[in-house]
Amino acid sequence: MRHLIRVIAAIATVTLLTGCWDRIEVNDIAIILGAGIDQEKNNRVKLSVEIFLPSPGGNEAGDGQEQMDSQNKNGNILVSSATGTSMADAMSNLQERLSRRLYWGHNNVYVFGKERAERGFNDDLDFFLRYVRARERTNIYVTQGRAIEVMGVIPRLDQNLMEALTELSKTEVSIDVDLKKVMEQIVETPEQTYTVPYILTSAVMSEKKHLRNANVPYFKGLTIFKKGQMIGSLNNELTHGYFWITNQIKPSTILTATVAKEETIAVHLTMSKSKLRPKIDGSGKWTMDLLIECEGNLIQNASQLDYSKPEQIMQMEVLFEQMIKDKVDKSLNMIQQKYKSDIVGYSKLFRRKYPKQWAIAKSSWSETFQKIETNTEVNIQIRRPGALVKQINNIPME
Amino acid sequence: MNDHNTPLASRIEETQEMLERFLNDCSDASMYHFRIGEQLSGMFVFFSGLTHEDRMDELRQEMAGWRFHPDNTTFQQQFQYKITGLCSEEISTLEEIIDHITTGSVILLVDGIDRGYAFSLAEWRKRAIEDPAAESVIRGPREGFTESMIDNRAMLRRRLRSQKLKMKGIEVGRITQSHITIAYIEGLAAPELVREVEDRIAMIDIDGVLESGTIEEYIEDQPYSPFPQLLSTERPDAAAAGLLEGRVVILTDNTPMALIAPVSLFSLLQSPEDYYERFLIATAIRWLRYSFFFIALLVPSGYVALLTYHHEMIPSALLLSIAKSREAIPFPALMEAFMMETMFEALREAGVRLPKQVGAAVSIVGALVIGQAATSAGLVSSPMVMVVAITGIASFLLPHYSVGISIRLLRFPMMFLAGIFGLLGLLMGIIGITIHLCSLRSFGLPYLSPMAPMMVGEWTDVIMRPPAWLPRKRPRLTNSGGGLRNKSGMHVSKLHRKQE
Repeated sequence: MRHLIRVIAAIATVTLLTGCWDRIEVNDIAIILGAGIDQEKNNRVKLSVEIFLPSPGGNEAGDGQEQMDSQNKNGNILVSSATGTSMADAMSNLQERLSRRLYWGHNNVYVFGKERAERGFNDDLDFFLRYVRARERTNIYVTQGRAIEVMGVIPRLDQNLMEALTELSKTEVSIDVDLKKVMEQIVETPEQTYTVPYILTSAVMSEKKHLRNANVPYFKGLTIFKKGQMIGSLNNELTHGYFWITNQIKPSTILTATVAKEETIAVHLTMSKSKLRPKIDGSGKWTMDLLIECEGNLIQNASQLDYSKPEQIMQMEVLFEQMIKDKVDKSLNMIQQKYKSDIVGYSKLFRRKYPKQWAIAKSSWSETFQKIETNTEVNIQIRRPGALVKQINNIPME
Repeated sequence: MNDHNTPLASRIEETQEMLERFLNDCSDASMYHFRIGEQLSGMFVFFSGLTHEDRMDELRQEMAGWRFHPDNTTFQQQFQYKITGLCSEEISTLEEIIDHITTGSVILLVDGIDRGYAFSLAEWRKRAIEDPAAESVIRGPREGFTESMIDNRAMLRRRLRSQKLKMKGIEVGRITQSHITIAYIEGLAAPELVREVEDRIAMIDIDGVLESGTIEEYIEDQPYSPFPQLLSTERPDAAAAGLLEGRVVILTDNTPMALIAPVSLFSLLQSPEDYYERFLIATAIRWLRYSFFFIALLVPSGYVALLTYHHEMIPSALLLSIAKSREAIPFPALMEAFMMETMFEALREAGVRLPKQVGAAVSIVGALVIGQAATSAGLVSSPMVMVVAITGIASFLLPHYSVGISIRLLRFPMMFLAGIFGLLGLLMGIIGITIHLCSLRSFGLPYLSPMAPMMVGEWTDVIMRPPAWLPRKRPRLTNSGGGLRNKSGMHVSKLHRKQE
């Protein structure tokens, strides 16, 4: 028994010696909800972070219901920034100014200013990937203007910018790009080419404009990166074409085709599949076959075409096929001729099928990529007419 | 207790004198003189309140009417001849008299005979058979054990009408001389187990046994363990079910709590009602109970660990709302949890002790203090109130109070481990408890059986509540016979078709 007490006392002492040295209460951390990185003069970097301000909710009796007016919401966020020679330096400068520990664990958004992106952000990526507290699954965006201005934007529908951006990344016009994906692209592509979603300037995004013109999305297509530097961007329409090529079209997309003047039909996609097949023929010509197969339902018919007649359905389908083909060709042209960067992932496909030829072409991939011809074939099927079979204008009298 | 043997005197006055010396200051001892026939004088010795006094009076009246005839035998011999059919036992020493009258018998002493005659007229006021308060069920018998050993034994015998149900009696306690009954079913309970229980109880040397808890503490395998190693129940149907599984039931006089041994942790997590409800529902409830077993043990400590060390593991939106509600709280999460849990335990204990009329008031005050005022005053955050409430409910979901309370106790060291080492500490605690449970035994039965040691065949009754018609082997470790508990292993509808 005495022995046992001694052992217990010894163990207790050990635990007391350590104390709670790494204990961090929730009250001691500054939860970062988003981080913006901008280029400053003299090659300095400016880090601005959106910090959650926990406004105490417990001082009124029965605090259960949170007030939902925007006033309260707006008060929840603090934007603070600091400059430094590098990301790490900027962060330590920022930390000096804050009474609480910066907490990166829940940060889900990095926004880079256009200037910084054009200069190249590999140095910053190195910090984010090396620093243990930052997550690899954090989404990356590039903004048209300065990142610090985006940090201050308070969306109306969502709690904070972080949520708004991550949710919007899931819509038709954008994709989720996180650090992990960028890393994969850097490793896999010969010239480190990848895309990052492009978001609007804060002036366009800010609330008042938004209220007047609610259909302005946050996203403005994609930015194209080559060797760590932003070399250009695709607008929303070109981004669409890019999605058709890379099989990233989301099945909820709505397509509209013009039949004649002031006559349109719209289709809601239910399924879409793009297949790329690389080919090198005997003469050493590199080509790529793109087969796009999709299905959809008619959701609006403001034309003279009649869905109940098979040959007119064919007509509709041809219209859509042509439209998609045009989009794809336009995007491809832009990507191949203007930006010369293989963001569509052709190199991966050629490497798999023709490893030997690829190894030779690898060193000058831009030139090879530029010359690859793409044969696009689109096959769309409009499966269902919706609840209304005839057009209203054509309904026969009973 | 009475080692000496003082023989009785033949003269009644002398015996009375001796008895009065023995029973001095026993104001409840009564001696009652009367005449037997016309020739003899007799005396009843008894403790008032323990005997059926009306029946005693009838006996007196009958004996008063006896006639003795002067012939070649003495009156005393004639009396002895008549009395032999009436009395239950003849006794010859003073100590035996004491033994008998303390159990409620009446002793008849007759002038001129150096013997006493015992009549078992024991009868005293006792509580009626009532609904077991601590283990109420929705479906199932409503009667519970009472303080009377005779009634309790009868309740068992009524359920198991077989001579195979054996009940051995032992007396424990130097002064209390409490009756203990060891009940088991011959052929189902392992003889070694019965012998072990008997030996352990026989070795108890103590002044008094007032409740089965004393017995439990003496005979359990691991006295320092926080876990109960015997199941205490006040339900005769639970006791009967235990007997049918080859377990031993220990009844103690003057308490409604029966002990069942051996038990495993899983049998402590089962309620007798599981077997009365439809099996699908009972299975779901069993799973619910298992999960709340862990919730009761781990939720407060897990919450403390996450909030103090591992903020990454909380979903972002939840962390934000927790941060919001914790903003004004001056205490670290560990202190907060400790305060609230202690408060909860205090309220629970107060609720048990307080009389019914006050109990309601306390629960209202408790709900207000814990739920409302504490959060408004900024002492604790509202998520913590949630955690404490969930834990409290979870611990009451366990059907046996003794398990619930040990889980509630273990919560506190777990909380401190979590507060000091975070999830690592929590894990250390879990490992420690697991090791302890694995090494624990209840009368030779491993506490975690049938999970450790693994006996897959018996898992059906742990993972689910098997339907009654499913072939079910008798538990392996407790019984001696083996074999199936039900013969066909088929549902009645199938049997019917088979017969056709």
